[in-house]
Amino acid sequence: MTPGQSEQAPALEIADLNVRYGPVHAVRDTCLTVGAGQVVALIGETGSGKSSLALAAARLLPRSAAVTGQVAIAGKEVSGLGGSEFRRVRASLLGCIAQDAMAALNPVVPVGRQIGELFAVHAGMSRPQAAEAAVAALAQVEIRHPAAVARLYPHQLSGGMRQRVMIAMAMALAPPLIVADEPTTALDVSTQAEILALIGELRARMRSGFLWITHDMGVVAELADWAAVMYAGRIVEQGPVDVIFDAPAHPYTEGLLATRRDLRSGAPGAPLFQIPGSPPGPGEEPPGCPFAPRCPRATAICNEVDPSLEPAVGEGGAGLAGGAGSMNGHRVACHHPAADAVGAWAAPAGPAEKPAAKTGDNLGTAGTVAL
Amino acid sequence: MARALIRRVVFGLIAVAGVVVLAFLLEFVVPGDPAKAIAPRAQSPAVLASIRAQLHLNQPLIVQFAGYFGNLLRGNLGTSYIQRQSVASLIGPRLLTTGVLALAGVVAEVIIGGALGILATLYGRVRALISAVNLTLLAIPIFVLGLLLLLVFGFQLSIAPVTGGAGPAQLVLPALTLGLIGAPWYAQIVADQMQDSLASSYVRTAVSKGLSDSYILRRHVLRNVLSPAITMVGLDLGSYLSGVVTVEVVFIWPGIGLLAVNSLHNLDRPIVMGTVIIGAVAVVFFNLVADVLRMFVDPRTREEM
Amino acid sequence: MTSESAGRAGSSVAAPGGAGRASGSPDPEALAAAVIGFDRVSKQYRGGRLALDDVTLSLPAGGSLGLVGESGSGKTTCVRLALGLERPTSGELIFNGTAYPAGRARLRSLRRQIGFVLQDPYDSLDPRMTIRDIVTEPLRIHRLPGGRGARGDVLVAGQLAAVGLPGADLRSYPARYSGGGRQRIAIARALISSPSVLVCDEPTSSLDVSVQSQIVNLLLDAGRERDLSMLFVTHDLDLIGRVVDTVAVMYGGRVVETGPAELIRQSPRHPYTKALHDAVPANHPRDRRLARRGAGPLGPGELGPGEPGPGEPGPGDAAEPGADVTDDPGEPGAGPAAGGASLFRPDSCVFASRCPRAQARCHRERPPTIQEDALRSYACFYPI
Repeated sequence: MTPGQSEQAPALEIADLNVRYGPVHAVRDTCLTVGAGQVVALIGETGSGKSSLALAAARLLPRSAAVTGQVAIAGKEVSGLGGSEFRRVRASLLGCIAQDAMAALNPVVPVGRQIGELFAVHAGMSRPQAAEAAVAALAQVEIRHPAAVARLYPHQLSGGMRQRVMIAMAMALAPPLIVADEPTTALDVSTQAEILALIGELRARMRSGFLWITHDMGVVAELADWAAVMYAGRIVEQGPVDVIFDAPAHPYTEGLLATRRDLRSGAPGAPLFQIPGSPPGPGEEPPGCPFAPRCPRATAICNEVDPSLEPAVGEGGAGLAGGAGSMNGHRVACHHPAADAVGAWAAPAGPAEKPAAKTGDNLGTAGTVAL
Repeated sequence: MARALIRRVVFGLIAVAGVVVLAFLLEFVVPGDPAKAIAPRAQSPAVLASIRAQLHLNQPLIVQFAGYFGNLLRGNLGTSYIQRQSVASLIGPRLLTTGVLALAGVVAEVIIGGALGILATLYGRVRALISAVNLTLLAIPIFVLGLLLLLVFGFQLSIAPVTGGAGPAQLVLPALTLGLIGAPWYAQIVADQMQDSLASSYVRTAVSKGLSDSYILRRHVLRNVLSPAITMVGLDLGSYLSGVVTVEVVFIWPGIGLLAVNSLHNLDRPIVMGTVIIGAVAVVFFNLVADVLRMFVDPRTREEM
Repeated sequence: MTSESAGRAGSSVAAPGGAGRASGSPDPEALAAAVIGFDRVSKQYRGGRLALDDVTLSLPAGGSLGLVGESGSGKTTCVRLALGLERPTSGELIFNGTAYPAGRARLRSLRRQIGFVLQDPYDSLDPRMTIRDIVTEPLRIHRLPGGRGARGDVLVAGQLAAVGLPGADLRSYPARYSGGGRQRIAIARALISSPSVLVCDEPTSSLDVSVQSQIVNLLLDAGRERDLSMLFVTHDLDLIGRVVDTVAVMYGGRVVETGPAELIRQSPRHPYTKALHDAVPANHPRDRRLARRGAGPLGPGELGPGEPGPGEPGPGDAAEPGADVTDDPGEPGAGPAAGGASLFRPDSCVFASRCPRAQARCHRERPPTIQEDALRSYACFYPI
């Protein structure tokens, strides 16, 4: 592959990725592409497989996980590389930002040295050079007095600062791909806002692509170019972020958006919009669509056939896609994708009118009692 | 931080004073008449009485204690009943001999235990073997191990001296005994800490930075193992300095432990008290040193203090 | 009730502009009617941390009060005080019109009337207790019937059904349940001794969004059915607006604004409340503003949480006042004075150093609490 080609290559290409932990099939047959310089939001809740997918892409899963499929970073096929071969190139291909920066930074090593060792090991710098480069990296993430901060230990920094250090570390060698695992979830809203602003700034400067894991649709709205929604180990919908927000085709995506909309605009004291039920537990593999037991549009076929990810058609509601769903890459795995902008949960009384407990899923009863 | 250190020193001194009181009381619970020990052949009660008077043994306990404590505060540990020398001059050289042995023992247990712990963590195949070794070492009494080593290396193989003394050659076997007895504890601590560290999020970060396994081990894992190991070293040095009696007796190592045992037999109270005080001070001192060292290794402990 | 303590620093400043009456001193009527009342409460931790600074709050019977703020704002300290886990350094806590009891036995009787649901369902349930034992624990502590035996089983089963876990195995352990399931168990435990007050400390912040709605609806139902008074603490402005009728916004250990949830959301008076609103991410990509340079009102350095910043002293070396300021290597948005080492109450607005509207006066004087009307008050010289 010539350098010219690899500059155009997507930051990340995942094909047919499967992750299994023993009998638990955490990620199944997943394909996802992060374009060069793009931010792709990977949306999902606990147990949806989003973290497994991201860690598999970064090859950070424990050995107990069985991973199959292809992963290419910046056009370079990495899934076939041996351990030590990948280790030598990994830092120049991808950086990682963890959710809990406190745990992800070594407590007994000053943060400057933790960044500097990247330069020392991969750029062949001497210790003083690496230290200097680390200070520059801290300045990149808009830390004031970076030289002083470089000498501090993680516990001496605030949460926002620690996350900045993580970002500086991930971006130190300007890799084409950054894998970010809910980097703002543990932060206060105002700190989150600062980090989002910083990422917006860095994107413009660094041209790295991001695989950004989150469960917060607000963060998706602020940051992402592309959104992929995961449920029970599958990507159930993906597309350009505007299309996902304007014309979600999967009832689960609709539900997530409705939950957030309702939270902000609903009347005080009124029950919150809720998606009834709960996702299948690890290892539970009911036949058919995994969302069917919670889905207001589910029919017989949904309980029998697991829908595959197909180009979404007819989501012309907002007119964004010009009616050509397959052209913009919007894809959905649903037997009954939303045909208009009204969607599955649009009934004024919300989901509570639906027989939430119809599947025998006791977790859905609470909201129904309220109404 | 300085304030915290001073507080610790003060608490340490209080602890030492407590030990002094307890040891002094214990001395008087132990049956026997020091005067008889000093002059075993003296039959006349008058002679014995005069000896007691000389040593102020006929005074009330509280007066004796006040006298002893007053001397202690002036740095005077008193005079041996039997040997008629100052306790300090008797203990001084022996403190050095015991110190050498304690240090060598701690070095040995750190090396042996650390190696066992690291091997057990890194190589799953030898883990069972190592825990069997650990268990054996834990189960075996210290004097049995000492005699065993003496038998094998001294008498059978004749590569270690079997005569007592405090030379470098005589140091090997007692130090090895201490090292083997202490090793399982270090192995356990090192293995536990390493496992925690290897499973930690920061090691995953290090992996994501493309660092090699050995680099991660040296720069990220072992640093986090150091802190609890240092605490253990501090405890061990302190307690060994108060005399590793069994080892010193088995190998006839002329240290404090041997002195203390002999003096107990002879009811030579000033020496017994001296060794007790030295031991208490050593424990307090090395704990403090360990805490200070830990602050350099683990910055988080700086705030805890 | 003692409102005579008005001589203390920063309490008796007259209101400017006649916009309302100064109300550093509490409204005795509101406090007398309160189930839980904070009468000018301050809490100072060992080492000088002033976690609460002259806080006056009241939770009316059958009503609901929300505390919103970021880490370090003092909201969790309020919870600890309300649950009787700690005592205030100064000021008075009121329960049903009388002071919080001092003795252990009487404190226990108070706790019987206060159920609580805490943030982390993974942390707050003992993993070695069965869910039956977890749920009945308050009954045993308060020596109520049903703590043991078959009668308890029926009680627990009914309670679990009420929180959406019908038919749950009473002998199962928390490990079997997801975060939402555990929080349901925690709610069952909180309600079993029939408390009159429910204290919720970030009950949904570690849960997934879809589970959050379910748990909040469950809490709302329980509150309504049992006519509970509810103290609800969260960092989520949107959520608090849905759950409670009155909201108190906290920053740096002080209450900076109080009012009906609807008004706090729609027309905040205090710049911090406004900034907090503006930090919430957009609902739609076309409205995005945070991830664009200098777009939001929350540029770095304007606003920050009270979490410990660099140089900010931990409990150990917190003795030097002002160390948090001078040693600060410059966290953009480092914490306010709550985390700092103020041994005395600073004569300034806690938010002044990050406030876009701040003027000289804000750094010199402590803004009094202005009572705008019967329901609404704020502590700001230059309100929006």
